[in-house]
Order: sequence, then C-alpha cells, then structure tokens
Amino acid sequence: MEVPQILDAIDTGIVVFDRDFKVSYWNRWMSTHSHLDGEAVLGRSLFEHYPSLKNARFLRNCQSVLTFGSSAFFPQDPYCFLFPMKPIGLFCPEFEFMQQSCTIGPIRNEIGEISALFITVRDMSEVAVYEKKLIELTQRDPLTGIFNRRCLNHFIQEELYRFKRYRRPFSVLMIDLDHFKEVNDRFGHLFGDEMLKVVSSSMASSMRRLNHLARYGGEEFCCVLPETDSTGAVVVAEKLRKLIEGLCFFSDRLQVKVTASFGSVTVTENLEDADLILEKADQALYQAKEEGRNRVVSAR
Amino acid sequence: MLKKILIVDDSPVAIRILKVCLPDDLGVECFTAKDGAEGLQAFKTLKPDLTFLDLTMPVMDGFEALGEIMKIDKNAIVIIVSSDIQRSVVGKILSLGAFLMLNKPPSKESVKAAIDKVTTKICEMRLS
Amino acid sequence: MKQVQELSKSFSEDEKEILQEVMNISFGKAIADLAEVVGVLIDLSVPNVTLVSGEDFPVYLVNKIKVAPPYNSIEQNFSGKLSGHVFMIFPEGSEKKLADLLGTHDEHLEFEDAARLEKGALIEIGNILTGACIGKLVEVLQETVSFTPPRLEMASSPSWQTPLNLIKKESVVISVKTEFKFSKDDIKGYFFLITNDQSIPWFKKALHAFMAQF
Repeated sequence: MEVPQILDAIDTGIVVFDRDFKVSYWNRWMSTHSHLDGEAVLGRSLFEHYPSLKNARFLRNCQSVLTFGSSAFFPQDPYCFLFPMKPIGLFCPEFEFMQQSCTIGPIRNEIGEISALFITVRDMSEVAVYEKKLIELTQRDPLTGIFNRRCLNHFIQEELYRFKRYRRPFSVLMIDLDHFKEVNDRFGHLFGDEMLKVVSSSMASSMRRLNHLARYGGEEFCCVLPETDSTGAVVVAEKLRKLIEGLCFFSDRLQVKVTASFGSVTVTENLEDADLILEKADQALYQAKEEGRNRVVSAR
Repeated sequence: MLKKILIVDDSPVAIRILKVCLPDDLGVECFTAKDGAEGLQAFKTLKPDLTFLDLTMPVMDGFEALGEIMKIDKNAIVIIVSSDIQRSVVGKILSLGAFLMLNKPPSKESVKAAIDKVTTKICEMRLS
Repeated sequence: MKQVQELSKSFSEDEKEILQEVMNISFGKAIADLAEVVGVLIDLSVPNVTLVSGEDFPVYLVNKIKVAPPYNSIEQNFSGKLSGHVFMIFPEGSEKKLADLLGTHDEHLEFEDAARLEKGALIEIGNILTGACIGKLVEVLQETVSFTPPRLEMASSPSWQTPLNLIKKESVVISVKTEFKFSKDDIKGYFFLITNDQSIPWFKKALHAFMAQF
C-alpha cells in the first residue's frame, strides 16, 4: 500500500514501458505536468503523445539499457528535456519547456531478464536559470552585454576547427572607434560608456545571429563572421561602418558623432592560427587608421 | 579418432577452462601454446587433429595464425574460441578456413557439440 | 605503497589470471553488442589489469596513456556487491568527432548549440561504454549493479580540473585499462574501472565462483 502512495507523492516523474514502448505506469507527477491522465497514456505507445522521443539518440540509449542492463542519463545540461512540458512557477518566462534531468533504467522479471524500462524525470528549471545567469556572467562583457574577450578566443577556435574539417571560410573584423579618447576627455567617462553601449547594441542587432560580436578591450571590438569570405566580410564591415557613422549622441544638446575603423581578415590555408588571425586583423586596422580612419581595410 | 588436440591461448585460465570443458571420456593428448607464433610452431611439429585458437593474442593474433595453419594444411580443423565474435568478423574467420566458432566462456555442452561435429567431419574425410 | 603490496599478496597469481580472463570475456562480449547498439564498430583493446594505489594512480595514468591535460573526462559511480567508479578519458578535440559520429553535429549550429551537442555526445558514449563494460562484467559474475549520473569535465572548460582528485590516496585500485577506437573515425579514448576496496573480498569470491562453474 505504502509504495504506490509514495510514488504518487514524490516530486519526480516516473514512467514504465515495455520493449515495444507501451506504457504500463505513469505516476501522478507525470499526469500533473503532462496534462495527460493515466487512461490516456496506459497501454499506448510512448511515442503517441511524445513523438519527439522517437529519435536516434533516445532509441540508442534505450537499446543500450536493454542490452547491458545499465542506466542511461539525460542530464539537463546538455539535453534540456525529454518530455516537452510547460514550465511551472517562477521560471515560466525563462524557458519554453520545463528543464529536466532524466534517467532510463532496466526493470527485470522474476528470472532476471530485462522486461521493461523506467524513466525518471526531475524538474531542473530552477537550477538551469541560475546556471544560465552564471554562464552569462562569465561570457558577457559587463558594460555592453556583448561577448567578452575570452569567449572570442573560443569562437575563433571553433571556426578554425570547422575550417580544418569542412574547409568553410570565415572572417574576423577588428573594429576600433576613432578618437574615442577625445570623446572621453571632453564629455566624460559616463558619456563614453554610454556611447560604447549604444554602438555595440546597434552593431549586434544589425547582424545575423550567427555572427559573434565581442568587446576586445577599451573601445575595440572584434567580430567573428562564420561562413563569410573576404568579399562578404567587407560588405558586413561597410554596413557596420555606415551604421556607426549614422549614430547621433547628445551631450547637453550638443550633437556628438563617432566613426570607426575596420580591419578585416579571412582565414586561408596558411593562416590557421588564432593569434596570427588576430594579429593580421590588427595590422589591417592599423592601416585603416593610417589611411585616415572611418574606413575598412582587408588584410592581404 | 581424435588423438592430439592443440589449444592456443595467451590466457592460462582460458586454457584451464577449455580443458575442463572437454568431454571426460575423450582420451586425447592435450598440448598448449601461449600465442599465435608458438601455436603455429606447435602445429607444424605436432600435427594435431584439432586446434582451438583464441583471436586476440600477442606476437601473432588468431587471424594470422589461422591463415598460416590453413596454408600448411588445407584440411586442418581449427575452432576459433573468442568472446568478441562480431558479425563483421564472422565472414573473415570462415573465409580463412575456420571449421567452427565457439563463444567464451565455453561450457561442457558447447564443447561437446563442437567435438561431435569434428568427429563427424573426420569420418567423412576418411570415407572420401 | 605498503597497502598495494599487501593487496598484491592478497590477490594470488591464480586470482589475477582469473581476473584477467574474466575481463577479457566481459569486454569481448561488450564489443560484440556495442556494434549493434551504436551502429558503428567500436574496437576495445585487450583490457590491461593492474593493481595501483590511489596515490600512484595519477602518475601511472600520465605514464600509461600519455594524454596531456586538459582532457575530456567522464566519471561515473556504480554500486552493488561490486562498487567503484569508471573513469573515461577522451583527448581534447574528440568531442567534436564524436558528435559527428553520432550524427548530431550540424556545421551550421551556433556556438552554444554545438557545445551542447558535443557534451551530449560525450555523455551518450559514456553511458553506452560504461553500460557495456560494467554491465557485461557483472553479468559474467552473475550480479547486477546500479549507476549514478555521469560527471563530465570538458577539456574546454575554463575551470578544468583533474577528476583524479576523486580517487582517495589511500585506496587501492584495480585498474582495468582498455583503449577503444571507433573504426570509421580516428577517435581514441581510455576506459578505467576502479573498484572500491570494500568490494574486493566479494570480487575475489565471485572470481572463484566463476571458475567453479566449469
């Protein structure tokens, strides 16, 4: 008597299904969060209500548990969830679906054969929210909210891997605001900071999500452009240059304008090193400054 | 009918288990070797009626040893004894000329069944 | 080192040989089934069984596997009559190849999603290899064990730390090392089984029981 009551009271979802994925147990937690009661689920295939589970990974893991009698784990990081369910409580707005950690394990019959599998489901949304915030803290530049320099190195490494493996081109833009020191000296650091925020958010919102914009330091930004050749990189850079040129800032009703210089570099066979790529972009940026600023120069 | 048996395996325990599993009334002389190269040498000098061969061994593995043995005597009867008989290697083992495959660990029953098949085969070969 | 000597003594030569053969059989069975489950041929090398002290294990690892930190590691506990942990090492970069291999890598994915898939690939391969190797071992010894969720340490993690700290210095480990290779791709990894000292008496009994069945 006690065990069924406990199984219905605990804060964990429990599902049991056989080798044909036919459900034989669905505890109250599952009913509550799936909005499906036992009658709708029992005796039917698990995939009837959750077709998304019919994927190679889930089936492979089930097969592994059936074959070896082991367990398979689907932690919230990285899997997010197995059963798409509405998140509850405080964390509703953060996620489209409840974040879950799930475990699949074997159930043996009297003679020790594995006759069924169970899944346990735990709501991890609260932990996931905190984790998301922590990750943001380590990846984002606190002033502008765009990626920080450490993240940038990671992006370049990622793209280099893709380049080596799939020969996909990518480009890097090094961006520096012109005469920014004078802006700071004349209008104060608060004004300068505000300018950095506006410039970075304008750039970020004007680009496709695939591009990664990071603050490199001071008034210097760096942008990684996946799947972009040198011509494409110049197009993006020109667009950003015009965007920045068109921004208007006001300090005590005084209109302040700003421009930026761009150094662009595209990965090639003999340029397969992150430091070298950044160095090349920096050289092109330096040249853009030399040639009179507010322009784009491509590294050769 | 069977007079000499050769068991080639790098694990002394595997040899022990196989010996225990041989039928009690078989009355054969049993020789052992601890790798493929040693096994091949023993095969040449002993000319056993039946050879049990492990697959994963140092110096010379079971695949190579099997190939060499069959080169020496195309009628040699070799039983592969292994725990990792994957579908993909079954074809390779058979094409090399193995007579049978036996899963590890063997049992008295599986070894007896294999020996029975071997004696039938020897009878057939003598008749033809 | 003292304890190791004692333990080496407590495992007779005979027991060590049985242990080696039981591992050969279990891992061999694991390989055969792994190919069916993953759909890719996975090659496990003949397991190498060694007794090492917890204190010497890190040095032993460095000397034996020659994989420089940081590496990807997966650590998982199992408990039952046989208890301990498994510990897998995949060199840095292998996570991407694994994601490709399991057909979950898409080259157009964004950074966060790609990282997610790579983690997922490591966890899945960890689940399956642990299940196969430990599952088959306890099956051969006619037992069952249960597992705790895996702990994954990615080589790319900025706060990477060696998972070896989890192994108590004074404990004695039966280290079972196997190298696995995925035939299609050049992906290598190492699998270690580390038994808790408390389960060694049961382990020895089970080894004798294994021999007694013949």
